[in-house]
Amino acid sequence: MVKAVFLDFYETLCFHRHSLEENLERIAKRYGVAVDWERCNTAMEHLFAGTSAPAPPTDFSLLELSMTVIKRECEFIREVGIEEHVEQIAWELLQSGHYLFAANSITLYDDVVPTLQYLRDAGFKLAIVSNWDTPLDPLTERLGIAHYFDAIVASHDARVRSEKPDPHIFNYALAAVGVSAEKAVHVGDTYAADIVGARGVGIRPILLDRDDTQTGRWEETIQSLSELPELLTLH
Amino acid sequence: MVKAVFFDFYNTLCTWGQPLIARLQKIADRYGFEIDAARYAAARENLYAEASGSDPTTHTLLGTMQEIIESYCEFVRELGVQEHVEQVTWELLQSEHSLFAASAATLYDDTVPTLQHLRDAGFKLAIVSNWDTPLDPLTERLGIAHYFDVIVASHDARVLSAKPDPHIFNYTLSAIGVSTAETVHVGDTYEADIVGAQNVGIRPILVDRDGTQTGRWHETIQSLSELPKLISG
Repeated sequence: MVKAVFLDFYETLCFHRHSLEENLERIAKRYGVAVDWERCNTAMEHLFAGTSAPAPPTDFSLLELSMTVIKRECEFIREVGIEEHVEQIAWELLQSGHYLFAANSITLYDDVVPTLQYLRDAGFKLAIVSNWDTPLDPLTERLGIAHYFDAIVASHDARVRSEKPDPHIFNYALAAVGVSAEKAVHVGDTYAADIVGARGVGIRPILLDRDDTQTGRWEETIQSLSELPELLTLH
Repeated sequence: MVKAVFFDFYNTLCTWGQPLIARLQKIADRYGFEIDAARYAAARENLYAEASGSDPTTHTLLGTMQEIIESYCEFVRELGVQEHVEQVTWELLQSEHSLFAASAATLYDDTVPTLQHLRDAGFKLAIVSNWDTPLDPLTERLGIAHYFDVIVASHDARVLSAKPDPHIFNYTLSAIGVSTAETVHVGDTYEADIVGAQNVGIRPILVDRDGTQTGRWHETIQSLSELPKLISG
C-alpha cells in the first residue's frame, strides 16, 4: 500500500510564467536599446548550456553561484548586441525571471493545489525531490505549498548533495518521511532523472507527460496530477 | 498649480512584510538552531550599520550584491550559527532582502487608491527613491509601475545621485517635463525628502504615518489619502 508520494518540482508542480524573450523585450524598450533578435537563439543556447552543467554537489557555493549567474546573464546581454548599462539590464532581467531573484515569476499548474490537498487529506506523506541548486523552502513557502510537504529535498542543499538519478537523494527523502521504498511512489516529468532514478532504489515511478510528448516511454504515465489520487488508491 | 507628484518609495508607498526576527525564527526552526536575544540585537545592529549608505557614484551591482551577501553571512555567524552558514544566509536573503525577495514588500492600504485618484485627476506621477537597484522590476511586481510616468532610483546607472542631492530631483523633473513650481514631493525622511526637495524649489510634504515627527514640518500628512485634497486645494 502506498504511504508516501514524492514529486519532482520544476515542470511537475510549476513553470515560468513569462519567457526570457518577453522579459528582455520589455526591459530593452524601457532602456531604449535595440536587441539583435537574430542572435538571441544562439545567445540563449549559450546561457542555458552554462546552467545545465552544475558544479559537483560536493564542491558548491551559493555565493559563487549567484555571481556566476549574474556574469553569465551579462554575457547574454552583450551577445544580443546591447552595449550600454549591461550589468543593470542583466540585473533587471534576472529580477523579472530568474528564480534566484524572482521567485514569484514561477507559477503552479492548476492541478497542483487540489491534488496536494486531496493526497494530504487522504493521509499520504508528501515530499518534493528536486534537482535544484538552492534550498527550496523559501520558494515553496512563497508559492503557498510548503505546508503540504513532510520533506522538501533539493539536490544542492548542503544536507543532501546528491542529484537524481543518484540513489542518495531518494534514500534521503525516504528517511526524512520515514517510509520504505516499496511504500513510496515518485512522480516526475524527466525520464532519466525521475523514472530511472526512482526505479534504481525500488520506488514505483510515475511519468508525468503534460504535453503528451513522451507517449509509450513508460508504462505508468499520467497527463495531469489530478489522475494521481485514483491511480494511488486503486493499487 | 500642481501638475506632478513625486513620491519616496520605502516607508512612503511600501513597507516590509514581516520583521527580521520572525523570518529568522522560521529558518532557525528548520535548521535546528537557537537564537540568543543579546547576540541577535548586537548582530542586527552591525548588519544595518553596514547596510546604510553606499555611494551611488562608485557603486556597482555586482559589488553591492557581494557586500550584501557577505554582510548577511557575517550576521548569521554573529548569531552563533556554525553549520551551513552560507545556506542559512541564502534562505534569509530569499525571505527578506529586497534584491532576492521582492514579494516581501507590502504596499500600504492607502497607496493604490491614492495613486489611482491622482492619476485619474491628471497628475503626472514619479517615484524618487534612494535605492540601490533599479526599481522597475520591484514596482512591476507590486502592481504599481503603470501609475508612474517615471521611476527614479538613486543608484540607477542613468541617475547616480541620492536625495538630498539636487541632481536626482532635477533628473526626475526633466524626465516628465514639469517645472519645480508645478511639483510636490512626498516622503517620510526629513533630510532626504524635505530638505532635498526644498533645495531645488519643490514643495515638500512630510508623511508621518506613525505620528513621530509632529511639529517637524508645516505640511505634514499621516496618510497618503490626505494628499488629493491638499494639492488640489
